[in-house]
Amino acid sequence: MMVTLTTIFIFVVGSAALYQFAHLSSKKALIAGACLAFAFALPHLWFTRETDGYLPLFTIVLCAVYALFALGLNIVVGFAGLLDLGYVAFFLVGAYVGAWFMSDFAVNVSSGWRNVNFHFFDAASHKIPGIHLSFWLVIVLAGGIAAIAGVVIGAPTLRLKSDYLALVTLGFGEILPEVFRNSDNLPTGLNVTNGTKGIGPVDRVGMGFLAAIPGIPKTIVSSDYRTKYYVILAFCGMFVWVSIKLRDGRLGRAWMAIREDELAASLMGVPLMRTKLWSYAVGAVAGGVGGAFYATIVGTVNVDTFTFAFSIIVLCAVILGGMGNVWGAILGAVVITWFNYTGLVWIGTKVNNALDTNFNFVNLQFGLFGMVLVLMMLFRPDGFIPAARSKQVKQAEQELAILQEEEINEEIAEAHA
Amino acid sequence: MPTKGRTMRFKKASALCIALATVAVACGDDNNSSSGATNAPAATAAPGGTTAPGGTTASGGTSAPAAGGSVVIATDLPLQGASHDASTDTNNAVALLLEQTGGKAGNFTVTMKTYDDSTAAKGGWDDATCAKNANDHVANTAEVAVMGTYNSGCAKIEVPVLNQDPSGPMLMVSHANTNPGLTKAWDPGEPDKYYPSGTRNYARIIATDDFQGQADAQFAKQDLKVTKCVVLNDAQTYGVGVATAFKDEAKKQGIEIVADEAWDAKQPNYTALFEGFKSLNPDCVFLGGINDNNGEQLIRDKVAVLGANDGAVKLIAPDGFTGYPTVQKLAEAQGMYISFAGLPASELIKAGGAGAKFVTDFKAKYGHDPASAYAIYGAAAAQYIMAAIAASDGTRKGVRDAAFSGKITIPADQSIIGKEFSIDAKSGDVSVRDMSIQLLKDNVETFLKPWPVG
Amino acid sequence: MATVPLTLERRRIKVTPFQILSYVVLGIAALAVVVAFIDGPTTFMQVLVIGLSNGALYALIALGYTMVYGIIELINFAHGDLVMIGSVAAAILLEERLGQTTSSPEGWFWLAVVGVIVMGLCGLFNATIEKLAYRRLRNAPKLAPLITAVGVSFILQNIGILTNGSAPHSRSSVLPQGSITIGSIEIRIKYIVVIAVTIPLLLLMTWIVQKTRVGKAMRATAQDRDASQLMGINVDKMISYVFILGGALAGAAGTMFVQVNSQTRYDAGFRLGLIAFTAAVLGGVGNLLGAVIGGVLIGVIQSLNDSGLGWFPGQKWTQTVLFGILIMMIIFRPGGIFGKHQQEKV
Repeated sequence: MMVTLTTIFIFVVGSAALYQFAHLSSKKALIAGACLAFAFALPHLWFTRETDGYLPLFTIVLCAVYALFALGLNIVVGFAGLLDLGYVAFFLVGAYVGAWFMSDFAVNVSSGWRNVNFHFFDAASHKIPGIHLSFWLVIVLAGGIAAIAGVVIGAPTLRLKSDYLALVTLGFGEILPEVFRNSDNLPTGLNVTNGTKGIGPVDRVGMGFLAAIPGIPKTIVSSDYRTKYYVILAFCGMFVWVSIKLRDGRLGRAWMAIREDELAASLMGVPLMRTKLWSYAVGAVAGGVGGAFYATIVGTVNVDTFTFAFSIIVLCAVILGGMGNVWGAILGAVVITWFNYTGLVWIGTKVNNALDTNFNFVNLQFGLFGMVLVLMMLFRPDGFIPAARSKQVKQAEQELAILQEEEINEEIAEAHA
Repeated sequence: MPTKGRTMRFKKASALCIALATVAVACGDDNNSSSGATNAPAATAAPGGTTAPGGTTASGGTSAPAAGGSVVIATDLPLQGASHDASTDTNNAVALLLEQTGGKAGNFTVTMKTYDDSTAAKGGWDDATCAKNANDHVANTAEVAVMGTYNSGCAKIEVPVLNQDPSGPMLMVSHANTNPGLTKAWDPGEPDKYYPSGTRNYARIIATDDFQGQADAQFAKQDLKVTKCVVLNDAQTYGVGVATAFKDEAKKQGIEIVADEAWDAKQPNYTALFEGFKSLNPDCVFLGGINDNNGEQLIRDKVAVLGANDGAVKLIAPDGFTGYPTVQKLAEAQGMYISFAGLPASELIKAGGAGAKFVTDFKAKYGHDPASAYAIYGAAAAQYIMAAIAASDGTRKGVRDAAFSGKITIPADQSIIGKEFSIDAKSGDVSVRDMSIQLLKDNVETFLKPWPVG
Repeated sequence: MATVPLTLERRRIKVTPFQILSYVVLGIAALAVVVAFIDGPTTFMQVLVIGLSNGALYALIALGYTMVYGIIELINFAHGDLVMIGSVAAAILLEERLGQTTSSPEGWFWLAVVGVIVMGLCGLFNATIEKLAYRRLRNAPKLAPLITAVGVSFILQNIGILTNGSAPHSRSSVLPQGSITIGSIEIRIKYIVVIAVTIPLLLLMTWIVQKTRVGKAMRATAQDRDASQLMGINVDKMISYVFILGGALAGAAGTMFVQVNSQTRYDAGFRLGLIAFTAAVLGGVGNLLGAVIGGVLIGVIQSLNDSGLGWFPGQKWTQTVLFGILIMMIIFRPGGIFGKHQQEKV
């Protein structure tokens, strides 16, 4: 009952607010409101299951996390046009920051740290040693440190062509996990990352004053996916708002300019270096926050999770949905994550049952991703929901081409006359 | 556009959408309100406790089997990559056990459900998949216990989640995890950090790596008479653990550890790695890790650089290398020593009794010997779980309490591992500790000798 | 950078701090090699042979990269995976179809035959991929073909999973497994075989590119596509030829790879590809001789690093070392060790 009421409330208020304050057309406002309400109601709908089926809660939560990642990469690749193939580095940094400050890891750093026991608004029992900060504080930390990582990784790439830029970011995306993997026995005996043993278990998330809202628990139990989903949804919403604000502002226009033609942009006075670094930093924040979330969802941080394949999956999501389009990035992420974690297995089972075969569809995961990338690039490089700007650019180009043709025809006519 | 018309259309459209949304959510709400109560009651219960009347847990409330109900045992194994054969046979063994007992444990009907904790991309166990499986175990109310995992790293992810099950904790009994930290003090904070609720819910029926590494080192010194060893590890939880145990005991035995390195599973070959060791003149190499991490290439390159295993440099590996048909058939692997924290099938058959019968029945039903000695131990773990179910009320909490009551003993004449065993109520470790040293000869892992431990 | 060059000619640029840094880094690298030698001369020599052998393979692969980049400015991410496909094809043909599992003259004969077949197959496969996936995107913004290449790489890896399985698959080798001893140094014969097979292939490549008409046409297309078209060269055909040649070399590398390592794995291509591309960058992208030298250098450095001699940190840092080299080369010396320092951006 509460859920139904809240959903309707969100729909009505959301649509009205968007209509009034964001100045969307009535049609768009309604659609947006409906989407918001749907997103809210998703964990309670009749086709959503706890496990199994084609839409388990775990997958929904992961979809939301990957949506956050896609929003971040969308800024780097979609807005600014910088092909970043090492996005996994920010995910890695965020996850480890989450693990460092929300588990008992600190006692492992060195023998002098054996008795560290620092708690600050966290949800873990005070008997557990280590450094434990409030989840919300850790999120901010993760975002901040990831942003610094973004600047550090981005700085060497500022003068590079797109191919080399891709390679350098790829290189960092491979180096960082290896450094983290090997940092359990640094020269002075320091253990900074616990190497391959991973860090865990990660604390639960305490909801603090939000627990006053009916339906929100005091701490999120590890199997409570609904609340986790809402928290991530909130962060996605915030990041969507940030993306849109930036996109429509000066920075966003600078990014578009760089994406379309760097030379022209710099001639028009766009500060190339600063603009690019900003795109890396903002994109990295999403990666860092998403990483910290992921640590609390999975409960451990294991360095083998951070592979090149992750960077490609997020890139796939951004491209599939429409580079530069915020909603497209979310759509792409949801589709790809669903497919990756549930869809492939579910479709595989259905097909196997229907055709009475026993083919392991999960084995096709790589190939299908590759197909998606190739087909999208060949036939629909703008993605499912092309960014409004690229539509405008296309239109402008077409009009320009028509004008030029007319000019040439005129000149030919004149020459003949 | 005239604003009046705009507002009118807006209002009409809103009304329509509200109607649709109400219908949609109302349907969902009805369905879910019943399932919501049985699943983790996040909104109402404080973690670790419930307020449901009657003493039984809320999660068990509507679907808790009363006497005579049916329960599910889940198996959680890596079905992709190199462990595929061993895991499949483990599932086969558990299925055989259920068949032989008629699927009954006390008053309850027992069925099994298999889970895969690996991914094709990794070719082995995957941490997100382990986390997902753990949460699925908690959410699937019909499951009362988990048999697994195979890899210690995966268990370290799943145990805390099962431990915090509001209707539990949920029992996990492993047939193959050997990393000591799950039940004993090993790394700082272990084992308590895996049991946030304060109650133990994890047990295993094989000996741990502190014993295995110890046995390997003692065997190396006393039987093989080696003096200088190269210790390698695969940089994962299990491998590092067993390598550390080997190193510690080796030093006590007077073996010099000339090199202690991690090998990179993604490298195509390790010739240069072994060349680096050659000048140190080792007479043994210890491979602390699992074969899934490119073990065969490692063995091949060891032989290529340091010579055959029956020559000057001996090759010793722990149970991470047992039960892989590809290793057994590998020409270069012949002559290597593989330890196993239990008894291999051949010894079970020799000992006679229930164990021998089970192995023979397995062969009769499936047409081949079990791919790995662990398959039999999988059935033994399931046997213990079923005994716990029979002695319980069929709820998760009940099953865990029974398993850790210290009162369940599997008698020798029924035990699939051929001898009586029980679980220590405090730690979850098993009462019998067998350690076997095997020699790979003629493409078969032949039992060499038992090694006394503990 | 306040001024904008009005023409795009290469200029003699004064020595920048970046360049000095790059020389310093090169110097440290050279010193590390010397230290490694002093640390263990015998091991050094043995590891050197391994490095040369691996380097020969990397040279073959790097040539494919550098030729493709030279002609259409595309980093072919899928190239390494093509090598993997070649290795799987060679293994299946030789071991399963022909049953050659031991070292013998018959085995060597069939190895040569299979090698040629695989070279042809991979060459044609590569050209087909170019036609289907890259040709349409020749004039698209740089992002598009790059992403497509990544997509093709994933598709090839999947073919690898389907044919080879997701775990490393042990294969048998027909190469002689013995070794010869010079002084106190033991050199495995199979590495010498690899080097011996690669050299003629490289010479053949050089001859094709330098001495034949087709080679000239390819070089012309690489230099200036429009001018070549005006001169009547069929640009599409030339690009196809380049892909065929690159693919053939990849096939050869794959065949040798499986024979030396006795193993095929579906994810070998990713690593190989990146190592080879590092080699191409090291030697100067577009520079064929540079690619070969770069390949050999990278092979030696990797082997030295694996052995842990001297300052080298050991196998668990190999990725970092190799990618570190790649990144530093791209940033400080994009023209490669031998290339002139080219200004890539305004």
